[in-house]
Amino acid sequence: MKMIPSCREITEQASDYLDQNLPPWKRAAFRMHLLMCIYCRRHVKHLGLTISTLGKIAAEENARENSDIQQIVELIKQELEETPGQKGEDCR
Amino acid sequence: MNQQLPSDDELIPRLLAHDEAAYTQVVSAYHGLMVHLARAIVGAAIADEVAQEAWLAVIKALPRFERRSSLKTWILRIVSNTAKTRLRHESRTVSLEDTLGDQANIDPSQFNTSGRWASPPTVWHADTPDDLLASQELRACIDTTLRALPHLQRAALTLRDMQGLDMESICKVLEVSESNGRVLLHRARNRIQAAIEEFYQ
Repeated sequence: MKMIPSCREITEQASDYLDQNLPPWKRAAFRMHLLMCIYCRRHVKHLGLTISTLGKIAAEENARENSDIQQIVELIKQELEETPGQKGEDCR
Repeated sequence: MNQQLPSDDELIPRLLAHDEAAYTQVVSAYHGLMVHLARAIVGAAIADEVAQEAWLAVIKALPRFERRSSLKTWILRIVSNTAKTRLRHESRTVSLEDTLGDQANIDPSQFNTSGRWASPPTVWHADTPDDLLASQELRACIDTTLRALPHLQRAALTLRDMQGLDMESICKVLEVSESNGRVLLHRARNRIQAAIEEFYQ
């Protein structure tokens, strides 16, 4: 087995690399390749930026969303009234 | 949104005893996440409905919950299964084989036979998410790509990169092996990255 992965292999391992999910020797070989290859450095940087951008989009969405929690709780209450509780009593 | 939620040990008996305050806490903590997951699998139009349906299934199944995972993971798995069942009823499938099998990873023509870049990645004129998202056009392009992802890829990406769940829980929720879960996530990320790349070309 060769020591240093190819560019193609780098793109296959990039996601696991960023998730810190490569075994130590693979991680070391990955980093060795990055030292030598500007294009793979760029690719990995872009993948990292893609991931943080998705996080940013989600944070914006989460802040915007206000699902009607009370409405869901009401629905659950109705359902609970028709379902026997485990202790056989209503503790509301 | 997610206030301090009591431990599962404390919550589960209260939920089983139909404690309304406990339900309110759990709904406040998890409902948003449930809608996101449902949306990833069935689309926005019926995601709310699927999340509601999942709550009813949670109430029904809770006395039989064996606690082999956290309450959160178990609830999300119910959402995932409710959503998948819904898709099947609409004759849309959500098979792992489809999702893993035919979606190429990165375009192989980007590399030469020795595995080196034949068409290297272009420079993005952006260093931060804010730079990228400053373009409405690019934002729309990411959104379209997200929606076009195969269901399980989108679900894995939503749970991991957008809602911050750990991989082990995600695999339990989606009922896929750890390695398949990683492949789903990897492919989904690559698709979004490729869409941004295309935008900058």
